[in-house]
Amino acid sequence: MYTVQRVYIWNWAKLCALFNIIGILIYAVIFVFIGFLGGNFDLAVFGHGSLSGFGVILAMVLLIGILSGLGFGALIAAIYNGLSKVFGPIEVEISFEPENIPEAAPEVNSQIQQT
Amino acid sequence: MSVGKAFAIVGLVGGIFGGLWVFLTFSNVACMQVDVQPYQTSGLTLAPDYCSTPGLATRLLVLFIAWLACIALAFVMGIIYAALYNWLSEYFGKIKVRLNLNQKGAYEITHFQVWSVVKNLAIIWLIVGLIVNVLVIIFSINFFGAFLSFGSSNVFYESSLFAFLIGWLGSAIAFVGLTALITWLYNLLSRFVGHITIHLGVKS
Repeated sequence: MYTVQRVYIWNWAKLCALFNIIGILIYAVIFVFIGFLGGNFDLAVFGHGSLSGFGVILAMVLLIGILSGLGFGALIAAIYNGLSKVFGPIEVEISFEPENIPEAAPEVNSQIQQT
Repeated sequence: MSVGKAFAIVGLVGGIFGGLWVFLTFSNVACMQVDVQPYQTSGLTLAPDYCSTPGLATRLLVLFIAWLACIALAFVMGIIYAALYNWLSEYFGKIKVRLNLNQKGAYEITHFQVWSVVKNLAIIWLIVGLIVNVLVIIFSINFFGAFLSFGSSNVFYESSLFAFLIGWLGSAIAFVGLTALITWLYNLLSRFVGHITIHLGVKS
């Protein structure tokens, strides 16, 4: 049984921001698509009636998404790192495929050899 | 249990934001009840002063309760998800990942096998979604059935069944698609922004 002792905050934050960007872009495409389906370009560009207006709104939402993704991801990871020392880390069972055993960290390697 | 605790941490943070949202919009939420009045067909009427803004103490209490509820819910859901995974993955196969040891002695999850992730989460969501949608339908029958008139009760219950099937299977299909997309994108893009990196320890 292995324990997740610590997660890397910056990596986690970057991934959260990345998926926020992807989610926002998907939503933007859906909004535009619905707008075109309805034959109403005003609706497609959030009622601003111009592509530049839509671009400004989208850029602002993307910026907020990136910042909130970074912040929320970092916060969650930092709190996990802190509180897992008090309440205990996540425990996982990992079984390695014989042909695909990764190079192991020293403390994990000794355990693998024992088992 | 350990997953439940990790989920509770997410609930702890998310609950603060959720609670703040409730705190800031609570007066509007209360006022929204008045909009229901035109749809009422029974003799039930809401008192006009129902739309009064709650006091600071009430809103703080709601904030605190919402926060605690988020933590408790996340904790319970974490345990349920982990238990379901442990049980079902025995039959449907474990989630497979590729690990890489970096120079700092930490493991990077460089690749998720998409099908193994989608399969497990889809089955878990079918079970959890079934329970959630049944609860939603029961709640909506009790809530809307109290003041909405459908002309015929059969139409109402048939609509509820249809809504249940759409809600359950539709959300499962959407969930599967979203999971596959996220996993695939992770495999594709994490090499540019960095993989999930964790320090593994051995449980003594």
